[in-house]
Amino acid sequence: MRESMVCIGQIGEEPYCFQETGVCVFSYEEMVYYLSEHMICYLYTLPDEELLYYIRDQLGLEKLSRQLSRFRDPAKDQMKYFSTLFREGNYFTEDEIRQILDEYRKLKNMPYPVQCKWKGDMFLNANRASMAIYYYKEALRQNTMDSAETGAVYHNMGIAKARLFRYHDADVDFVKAYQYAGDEESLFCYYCINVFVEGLAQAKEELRSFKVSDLLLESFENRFDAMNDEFGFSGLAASHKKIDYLMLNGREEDGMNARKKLVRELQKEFRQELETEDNLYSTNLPAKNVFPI
Amino acid sequence: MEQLETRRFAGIDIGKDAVHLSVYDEGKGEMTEETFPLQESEQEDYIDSGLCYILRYMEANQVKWEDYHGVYFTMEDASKGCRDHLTELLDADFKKRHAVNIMTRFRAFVEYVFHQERAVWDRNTLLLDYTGNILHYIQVEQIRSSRQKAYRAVLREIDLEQYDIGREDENKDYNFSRMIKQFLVKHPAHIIFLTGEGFEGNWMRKTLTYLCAGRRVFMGQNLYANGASLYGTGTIPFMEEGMLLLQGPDMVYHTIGVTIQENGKLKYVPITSIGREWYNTKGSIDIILDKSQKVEFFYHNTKENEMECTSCEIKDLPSRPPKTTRIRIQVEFTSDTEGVILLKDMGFGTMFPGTGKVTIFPFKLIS
Repeated sequence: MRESMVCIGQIGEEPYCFQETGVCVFSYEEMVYYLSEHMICYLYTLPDEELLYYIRDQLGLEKLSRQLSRFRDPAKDQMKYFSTLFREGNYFTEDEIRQILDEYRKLKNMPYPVQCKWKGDMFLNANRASMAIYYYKEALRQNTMDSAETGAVYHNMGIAKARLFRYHDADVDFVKAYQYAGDEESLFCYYCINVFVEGLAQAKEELRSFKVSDLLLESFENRFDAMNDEFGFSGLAASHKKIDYLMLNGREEDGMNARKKLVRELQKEFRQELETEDNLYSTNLPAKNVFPI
Repeated sequence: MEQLETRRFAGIDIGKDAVHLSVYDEGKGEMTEETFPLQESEQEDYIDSGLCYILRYMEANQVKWEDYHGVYFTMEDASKGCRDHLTELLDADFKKRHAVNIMTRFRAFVEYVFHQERAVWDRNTLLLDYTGNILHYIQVEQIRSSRQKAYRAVLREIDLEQYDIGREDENKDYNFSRMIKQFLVKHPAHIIFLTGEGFEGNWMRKTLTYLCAGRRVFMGQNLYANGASLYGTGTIPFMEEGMLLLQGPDMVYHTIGVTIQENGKLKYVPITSIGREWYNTKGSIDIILDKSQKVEFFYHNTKENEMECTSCEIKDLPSRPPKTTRIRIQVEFTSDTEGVILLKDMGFGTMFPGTGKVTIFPFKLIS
């Protein structure tokens, strides 16, 4: 059994950031690991040309950079680009490379809506909610998926929208997800958002319109309580508690300042995502043109 | 017209009787040699005195440390105390521009030989160093004459008292020539270098006749300093490839490495190389852990061609997927048969941040 492998190239002084996910890499090994996990991003396009300069200048792998530049020609098979890249070091065994490329081939042959759904899932996992929503919408546009798949797309799109504070839109998506796939998980998400936005009593009332059993309602309540308890130990909850304490103890001004600070921090954290969403449809995303002109 | 800048390397040999300075000009391919004998009163702290002579010479000739691309020292006694003393004496200006590189005279001679044309080292070469009433000799011989050639350099000494050779003996030439005749039968050589104060004076007649019979003989006092300066021009490829075994004091003849699989075959990758003093032997390599958190090390004894294997388990690493832990391995020697391997968790970029945790794995080599 192989227990370790020797690294090749240098560690870059500057990182290379993959724009799709914002993940930064510093070495050849990190780069190939990332690419092997995100092959779905490169079904219709290859990584940026900048990556070749990074390989040459920062990682010191000039020969590899030269070889890869030859495979950037759109007329050439994209597989060659990746097989050359993965075979350079000893990071992957021959079997592993074959497996990655087989999966890549399979992905390429998948129907376009499924590719979009998977791409959306990948972006959702990478906390890129806006990009995820874009690809989920692409997946739904063709109307060719079965009801279970459509339900799954709506469910995940609901999660992505909730992350962008678009609770009303998320509510609609969870309901649609439940209608298509009948998954109770979608209903639970719908319940959670309603508790958060409208309060516990209203959420219960809303759920009863779906004719759910008392047993299911009770299980949702218990699960929500557990989640709430868990949140109680987080840093964000501590900030909320501090604000409440200040407000209740006659220090309204301090409380307001603390609240403003918290909101600013949250805005800062989510600004990039919200701005991405605004500009998403005006940018050229690496998506397949479904309706060729 | 502006003159092209060429690299100059200085080699300084600090002996108890004299200090030698050799400067090699790479552009001209020329070696400049200077010798400064030490008075008896100066010999008590000969390192300090020797260094003073060098500094005075540099001042007189308006030369600064920055004029040299590299400065390398070799010492008659390269023990830890002497090395530390020299390091202490070197000023901040020197340390700002150069690392303190100290090597043994044994290695300096080997560097000298292997930086010469092929004819000098491809056949048996001998150095005779006559200091005090002891004859030190270094023999450089080819031990494998196949396509991938290998060489060995051995340092030994002969007590001349055994051959009734005294310092001021009137039969010195006769006795020495007899001794050398026997010696050369046992240790045939095509090229002989002579150095040391013992060979000075005009006492050699018969001895020279024997020495020069069918051989090329060179005599000089700056051999070690020359070797040290030539070291700066580049390393010896045979040494890097592990094809030059140096058997002498402080020398390391084990390589420490790991095995990897290349094209389905196991391959030994050395982290350290042989042919250097233990205090000059260091190595570093980055590896990626696969499924286990164990690293196997191999110690290759190049003298006996034996391999020893040991493994080190890195504990308390955070849970990460396979192949997402980069470990930086650094090997350092604390003597010619002992040392320590440091394994540092570097993580895997921003995807799996490193903890910086260092595992210390001491090793002891079977000599």
